[in-house]
Amino acid sequence: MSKKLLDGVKICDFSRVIVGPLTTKPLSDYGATVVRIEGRTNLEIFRTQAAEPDLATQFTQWNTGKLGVTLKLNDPRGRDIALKIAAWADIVVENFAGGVIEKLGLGYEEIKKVNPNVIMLSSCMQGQTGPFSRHPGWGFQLSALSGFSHIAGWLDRPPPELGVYTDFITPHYNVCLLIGALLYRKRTGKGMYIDTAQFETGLHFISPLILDYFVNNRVAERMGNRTDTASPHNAFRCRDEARYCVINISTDEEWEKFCGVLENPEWTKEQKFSTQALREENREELRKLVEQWTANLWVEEVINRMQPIAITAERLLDFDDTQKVNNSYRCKDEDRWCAIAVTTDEDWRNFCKAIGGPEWTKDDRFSTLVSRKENEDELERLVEEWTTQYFAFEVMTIMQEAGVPAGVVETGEDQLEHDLQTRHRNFFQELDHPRLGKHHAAASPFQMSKAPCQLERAPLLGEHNEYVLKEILGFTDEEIVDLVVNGVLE
Amino acid sequence: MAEGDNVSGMLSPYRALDLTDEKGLLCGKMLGDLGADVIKIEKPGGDSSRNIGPYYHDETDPEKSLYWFSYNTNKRGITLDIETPQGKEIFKELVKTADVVIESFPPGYMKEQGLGYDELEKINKDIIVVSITPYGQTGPYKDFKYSDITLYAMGGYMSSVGDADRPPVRISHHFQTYLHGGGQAAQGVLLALYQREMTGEGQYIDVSIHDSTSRITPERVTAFWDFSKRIQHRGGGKAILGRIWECKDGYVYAMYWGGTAGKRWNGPIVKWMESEGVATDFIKEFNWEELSLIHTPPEILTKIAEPTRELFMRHTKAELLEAALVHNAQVYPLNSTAEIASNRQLASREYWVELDHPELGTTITYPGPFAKTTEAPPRITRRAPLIGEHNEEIYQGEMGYSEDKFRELNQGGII
Repeated sequence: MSKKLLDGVKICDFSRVIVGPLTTKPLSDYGATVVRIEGRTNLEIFRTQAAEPDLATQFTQWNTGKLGVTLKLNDPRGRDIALKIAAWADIVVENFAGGVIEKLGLGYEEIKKVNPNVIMLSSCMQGQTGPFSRHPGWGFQLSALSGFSHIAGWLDRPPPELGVYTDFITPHYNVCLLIGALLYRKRTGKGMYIDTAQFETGLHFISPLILDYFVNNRVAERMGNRTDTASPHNAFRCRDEARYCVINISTDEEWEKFCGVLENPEWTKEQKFSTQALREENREELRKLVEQWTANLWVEEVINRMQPIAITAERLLDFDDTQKVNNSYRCKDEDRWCAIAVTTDEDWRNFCKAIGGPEWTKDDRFSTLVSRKENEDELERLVEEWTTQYFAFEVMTIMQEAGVPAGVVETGEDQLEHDLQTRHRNFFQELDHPRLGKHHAAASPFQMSKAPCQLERAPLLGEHNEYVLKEILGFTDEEIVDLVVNGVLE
Repeated sequence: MAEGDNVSGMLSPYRALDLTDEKGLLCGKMLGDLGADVIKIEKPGGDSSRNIGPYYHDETDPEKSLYWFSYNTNKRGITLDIETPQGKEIFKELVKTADVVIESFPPGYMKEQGLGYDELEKINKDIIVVSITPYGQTGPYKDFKYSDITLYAMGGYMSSVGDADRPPVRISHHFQTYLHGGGQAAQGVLLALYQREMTGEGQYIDVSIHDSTSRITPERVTAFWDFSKRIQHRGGGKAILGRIWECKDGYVYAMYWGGTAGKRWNGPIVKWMESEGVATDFIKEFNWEELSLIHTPPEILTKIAEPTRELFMRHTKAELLEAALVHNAQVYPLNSTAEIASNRQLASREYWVELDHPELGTTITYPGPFAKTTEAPPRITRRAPLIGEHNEEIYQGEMGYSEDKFRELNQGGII
């Protein structure tokens, strides 16, 4: 195997959830040996929210190529092993709430005693010092604290749930700091302690708005999808797309439970649907009646409602086969969207040409950016009259061919199945997980001419206990057995 | 090699030439904050990203763009027309002194100018060239027209954000997607510098903003489809027990967890309600492990939501932030920039940095260094350069051009 970029760089990784793991992920993907320390009695949220820890789908995304070790950290022997891993490492990473790593006896001062030149990164919510240093939180709340939630959404409504947005900002800085520290240590022989706060790194992504406040006393507000410098500038609704769900009902018992979920409408009691044979016979009629119910629900909602009554329901993936699959039901159509941004006069001319130059495009109300901004509600309505005639990918193609910036609002399905560019760059690489099977994980957004990025799957819980203890730390088989028996390698 | 010693910043020994527009400015800023000598090379007259508002005192002026100020701190600035033969030669001379070149021109532009990686490598075999483009250098979308909103849309994040009865929505204002591209580019540069220390070789890095945005796509978009063929619809989840709550003067974020996490993280909010006498018997006794945002019936969710709403409506954002600390509850205000500016945690960490703007006769407060370190701390010491501010310093002072040559370059519109 060819040498990877970070071959030989050793990382002791106490981190959890996203910020820490996404910091060590690129290091792992580019060849560093990352020992990811977990514990069965103190599992991260992704592990505990799955049916079993090893079925945690999200864990597979941020932990590619890492070695999995399980240690009981609040047992002195577990802590000692962790300290040995930290002593072996070039870099130690943790993202507990402030103060937690010290309580575990694994703070920088302790680790420095066994590894004087260690580079250690603590990456918590609000930094290791100050009154809020120990206040716990997640990317959810930090996206609020750092100002992103306030400027997302519609001014006449509360802001939307933004997810863990700031979790994806801090790792940029963390990765640069860690490699910068390695370079510095190479020159000077000195390690260091690094303290990053999700709050503080996040603010760099709204710097101009912060300056606007300090300098002009202006408080930035949310603007929906609009901007002062472009119009139209929004996500526009395109043609809805049909979605189907396959529901398997093969016994009278299942039929009864199913009718219960539908709240037993009259037709379910009809003689012609009373047995499996009759239901087969009157399948088309039955389908129409069931579809009156499914048509108002997303496929996901149908699946959710079938789960508690143990009826198998799944999305129909191959639409051409709709007719062949007897038990598929049309659900609520997927609303599809395409973002369009018209900034320059040239964009506007191209846009008008792309939609066939209807009369309204010649209207004075839309001839300049200023007038389009003034009549934006009406403009957006007219644009949408056109976009709703086409599928989202068609809208994007028509616009792009005319030279107008446009992009489909991609769903997870689009990202993995329909986006030709991410596929061209092999951005989502296919991996094979022993418990979850074939799946994808994001590779590097940058491609390096002399350093390929070939992902390896994330570890199972404790998968590399023996390897790490034996090969890296030099424990004997007897010692390892003893640690297992005593629950230290939990 | 750059001037100065090589121990004061993590990247002090390195020099980067920054040819980028708004799509790539963050990369050079991050390198500069880490101590690299970053030279922003603008076309004569100044870069187009100086025309991005808001502006200092709302005066539309390329020397007063707050966007430009934000992402060019610590850089020195020169002007150079790399499309002229003489300009190319000067650029190549600079490349000999540099470790990194950062550019964000359309794919193929640098090659057309005779300044592609293959050419630059001949001049300086160690050089690291990083290109930041919307979709990368190759592939079916490489020449797509773009804007932040179209890249944001294609990155997937947008599809799950917003109200069900309105379009999917992006984060307002500036280009989040470009910043992620810049952040990824900086990571690539650091990795390449490390590899160069080991092998002595430079390399070429091709950054895609589209991929950078897809990288931030939460599990609920991509992995959700991958593992369970589900779409996370915006406005999904039960609005009854949403996560954004109204309070006296705005909104706060507070989420209720289900399953085992519920007891640990929801408990403190209930205790807080009790201390203010708004906790109902129902919520005091509720078994949080049973909470499921998918399966718990609406009437139960309503009973949880009611006292929660009451608690938050009694207070302002600022009060809730402080009280949440006391109660160890994960309740956080939806801060505006004004509230961020007066946040006491940031003040106690001495986060803000004052930079001198002598040409404006003032100082401006900036977000401070992105980390505290015990060695070689990131620093922000220099405001963004004026147009051609360091022409003399670099062309004459460092490259040794004569007064005559300097004048000739100026008059010829080369610099």
